[in-house]
Amino acid sequence: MSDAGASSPAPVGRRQQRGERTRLKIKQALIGLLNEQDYFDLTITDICQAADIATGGFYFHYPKKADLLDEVIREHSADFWAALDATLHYQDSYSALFHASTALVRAYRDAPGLVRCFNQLAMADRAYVDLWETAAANWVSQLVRKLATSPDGGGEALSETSAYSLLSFVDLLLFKIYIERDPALVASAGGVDEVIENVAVLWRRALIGRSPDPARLAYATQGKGV
Amino acid sequence: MKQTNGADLAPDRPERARQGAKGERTRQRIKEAFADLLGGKSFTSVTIADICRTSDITVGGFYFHFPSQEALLDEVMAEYLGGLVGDFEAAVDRTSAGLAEAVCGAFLKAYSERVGLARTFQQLTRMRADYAIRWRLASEGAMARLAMRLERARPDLAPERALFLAYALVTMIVSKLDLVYVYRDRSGAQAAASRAALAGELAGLWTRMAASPEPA
Repeated sequence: MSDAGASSPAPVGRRQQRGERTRLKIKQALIGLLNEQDYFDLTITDICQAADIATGGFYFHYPKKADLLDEVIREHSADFWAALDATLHYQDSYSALFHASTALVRAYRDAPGLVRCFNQLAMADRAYVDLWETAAANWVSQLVRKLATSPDGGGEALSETSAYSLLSFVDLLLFKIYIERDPALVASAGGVDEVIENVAVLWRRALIGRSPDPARLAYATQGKGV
Repeated sequence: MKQTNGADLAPDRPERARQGAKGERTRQRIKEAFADLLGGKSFTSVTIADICRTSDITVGGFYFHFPSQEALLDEVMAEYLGGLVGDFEAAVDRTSAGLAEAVCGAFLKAYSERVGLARTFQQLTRMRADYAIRWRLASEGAMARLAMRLERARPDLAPERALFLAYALVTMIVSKLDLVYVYRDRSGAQAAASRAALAGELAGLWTRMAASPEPA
């Protein structure tokens, strides 16, 4: 970056900045469109219209639609796992799981179309499955180590295999709530904050066999707990 | 519920009466061949030629019994769904103890005995909205009755949260079985070693998740 700045005059830097802005606009347009339309039905013209750029502008930045999607997925995936990794800095297991639950709910709620699209692609493309599995296995093994040492951990800790399948459980439950939107499930789940708390409670119970201290729960005392 | 669904998905075929018992046996053979093929291949890559070869019939014979491969898929999936939901309902309605074992057992049976069909059904529910809706409509009665049983065991549970817990427990079972039988990833391969161990693990997770919160 600094090398390019040194060898070329200022206008290039501005052009680069504008290029980055355009890329960002294209990426945001795609994420928005995916909330309403299936990826495979989307055309580059749709994306350019939504991003308010010329079609030629698209091809300057991406050779094809799949390359744009790949970049968006990899960026979102990196942000998502960074958010999950950060939850492991909490001392106690409930805080870690509560924040992990929050990160998952946000990811699903903020870009449901992208999550659905990722799941569709993972059915056909092993590379996307690996992207998820590698990061998930790594996070889960850190989580299991954390549970063994956290002050409110204890209990009967689960094997890494079971802990891994519980991350899949949370993932599938949130998929049903925010992407499939099964009406009976959505109605029974309540608002976002209730979902976050109740998912964290179930997750912790399954992992260590104990409910969190009720004093730390907002909804259990209102009769909205699980 | 499952009866109506099965009937809706397999429309009456007047020629079936004429076909008689032999025709019914051939239809059955086609469906079984298709189910076997799904054990080794994705439903998108199975061809009518594969089905004809495996069931030893001609392509013309196939089209005499099914208008299209999609119709065959629909019928086979409707039967799989009917069987699974029937077992799920029976488990929920069983009045004796051992609700966790019974419900986990119903799903475990479907996945372990009909792996190809279970995998295909899961793929279809993730890829196609109509399949997600079929599962939803077929299972919502059993889900509501499961919620009532959970509520009876846990007076602290509000009715809507009992339903949420019922969905969560079934989702836990399905997500675990998907890993073992559908995705067959590293964690799944290990667990698949023993069906009994898997039944124990599922029932254990269920019991932990459904437990009352401890008093402060």
